[in-house]
Amino acid sequence: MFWNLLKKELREVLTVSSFIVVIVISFVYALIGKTVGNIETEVLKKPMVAVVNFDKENLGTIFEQSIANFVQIIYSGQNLQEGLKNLQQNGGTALLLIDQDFTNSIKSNEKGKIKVFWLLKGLGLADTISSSVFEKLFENVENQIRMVLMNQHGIEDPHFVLDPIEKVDATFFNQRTFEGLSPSQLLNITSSQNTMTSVVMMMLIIMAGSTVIASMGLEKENKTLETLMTMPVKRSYIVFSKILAATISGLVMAGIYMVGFNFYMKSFTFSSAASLGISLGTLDYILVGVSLFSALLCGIGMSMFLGVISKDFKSAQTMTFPLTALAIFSMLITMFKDFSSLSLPLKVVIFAIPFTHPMLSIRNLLFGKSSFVVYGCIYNVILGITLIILITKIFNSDRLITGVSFGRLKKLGFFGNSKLQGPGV
Amino acid sequence: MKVVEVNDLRKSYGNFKALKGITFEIQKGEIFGLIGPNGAGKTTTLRIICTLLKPDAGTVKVFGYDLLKEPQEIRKVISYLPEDAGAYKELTGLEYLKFIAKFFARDEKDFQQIVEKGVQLSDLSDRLKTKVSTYSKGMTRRLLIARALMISPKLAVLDEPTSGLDVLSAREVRNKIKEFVKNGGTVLLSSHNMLEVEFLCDRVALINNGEIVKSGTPTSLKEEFGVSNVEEVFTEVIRCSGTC
Repeated sequence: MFWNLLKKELREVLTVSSFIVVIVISFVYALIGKTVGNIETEVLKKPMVAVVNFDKENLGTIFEQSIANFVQIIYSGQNLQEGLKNLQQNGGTALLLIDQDFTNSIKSNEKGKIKVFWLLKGLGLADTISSSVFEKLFENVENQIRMVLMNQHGIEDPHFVLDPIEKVDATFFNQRTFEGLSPSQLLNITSSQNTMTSVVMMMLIIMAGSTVIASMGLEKENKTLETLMTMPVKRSYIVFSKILAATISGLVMAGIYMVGFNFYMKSFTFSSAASLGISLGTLDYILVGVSLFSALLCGIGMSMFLGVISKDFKSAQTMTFPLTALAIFSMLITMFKDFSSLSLPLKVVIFAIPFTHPMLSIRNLLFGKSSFVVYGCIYNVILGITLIILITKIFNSDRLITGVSFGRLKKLGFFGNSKLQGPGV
Repeated sequence: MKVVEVNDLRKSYGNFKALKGITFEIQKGEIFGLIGPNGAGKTTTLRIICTLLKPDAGTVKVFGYDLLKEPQEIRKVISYLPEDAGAYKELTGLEYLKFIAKFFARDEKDFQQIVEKGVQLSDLSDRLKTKVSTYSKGMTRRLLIARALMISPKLAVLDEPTSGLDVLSAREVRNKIKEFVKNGGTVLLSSHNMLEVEFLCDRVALINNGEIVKSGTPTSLKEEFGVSNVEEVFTEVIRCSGTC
């Protein structure tokens, strides 16, 4: 009987339309990722530049030779118009115009002039990558010139004079020292994976949750639930099959989302966490999966509870608000604050919200705090079971037909139209 | 043989007393009608008998099974059709019948027989292969009547069985109910349609403000009030309720 119910519930939640929505969202994110492109590749790519050198002396030539090590020179000559034309045709980054008095000025203790004609392709974040990379390379070339000058002034080791101090980063976090990493580097490594889990979890709760709430509202409106409850089937089966079907559907959606988000997040990834000794193993991924499943179970349970107390399909739709708000709050708080840096009352609140556990799981597992993830899973499973028991109790009482009274909350209109109502009398 | 025994049944929703101690019995092979104005307590009575609501006081027995002690046994022998009910829109008509049949079938052969009976009762032929979401109200009601009767329940509880149906469809449904009783079933129904009640019911109970104010066969009630049809009986009873 349970399988009969589960099969029916799966048919109800795993509809073509629900898949289309998820696939489209996933595809859009993948497309954004593809459009933005891989930042790491962009950073490593040599900028294309045109060089117009009017200086006949040695420093102009040294500059041109030095820059050739860091950029791809697409034009080298003495015609500015031709240089600009080449730059535009090849989609280069900049044209460097070396002044005819470049060497002479420096030798006379005056600054040598190099004019940079930038070719800006757009005002998007990714559009400025090559120009910002080029700025750094320019600094390097400047150092080369400095070294030549220092040599000419009799300094034996110009490398040392230019770089006398070595800065070695070491970041202490979570009882562990990360050698060679600054806090911002550490944040970059973890935030990409963490953001993905948070966003996917939030979207899942909103989508799967509203599906369950709407389904319960529809069942009440169509009286299909009333019919089912007069049949020789355990009410706990009815509750559990509904929750399990929605959770399975949620996990399928999670898989589709993950694929789309993976493409999206790749475009923002700077370094591989694995090369720095911060990565997840198989057991960690299993824990993330369990955490996701248990949070989904709680989310569906909460949705079902809200669906049970709704009067019909219309009032069920208003019930999605508290769940959506909770999912968004969980995502934002876990993205902007680390659990360990929160005050005790806020820690309790965050721990009590089941959705925060998968959102925090990757960050915790990356830093070896697997016990926190395990405790989160245990808490979620207990909460999920409690919710199932509570809903089954409502199913076994008159409340499913007569509505659930919430005293003050109802007076405040918090639950929309879900007022206690006479059941047709 | 007593199919349903209701004794001093009471039910309140907050301060509102929906049922104030109603008592009636239904014999095997009867079509028993509960008639009364809106809010009289008809649906509450049906829902209690079908194990959806628990009574505050009084006793209900269905085929000897106590409502509070053996609700699961009652669910095995009844079939309930709520007023204005729908079916699962993502399923086809046939899938819906199969889904319900699985709860009652003892084995595969029994399952096939139940489904076959459902297909015949619904009279929807090829439309059974399309999704319920594409059905008209009349088609959905036919599917639901078929669903309720295909399992050959010992007691069919039908809340406004012909509600919202056109004349021909309503007549068809009434004939199916008659046929069901001829084959040994028992029916408890509620209706606003007095002509339907007169045509279908062997006995009726008139319910008003949570109390049964009159009961008997349509013929005896008509004779008692000296009127020509049940509608006039109903009007007289409701007008005189508690005063005449």
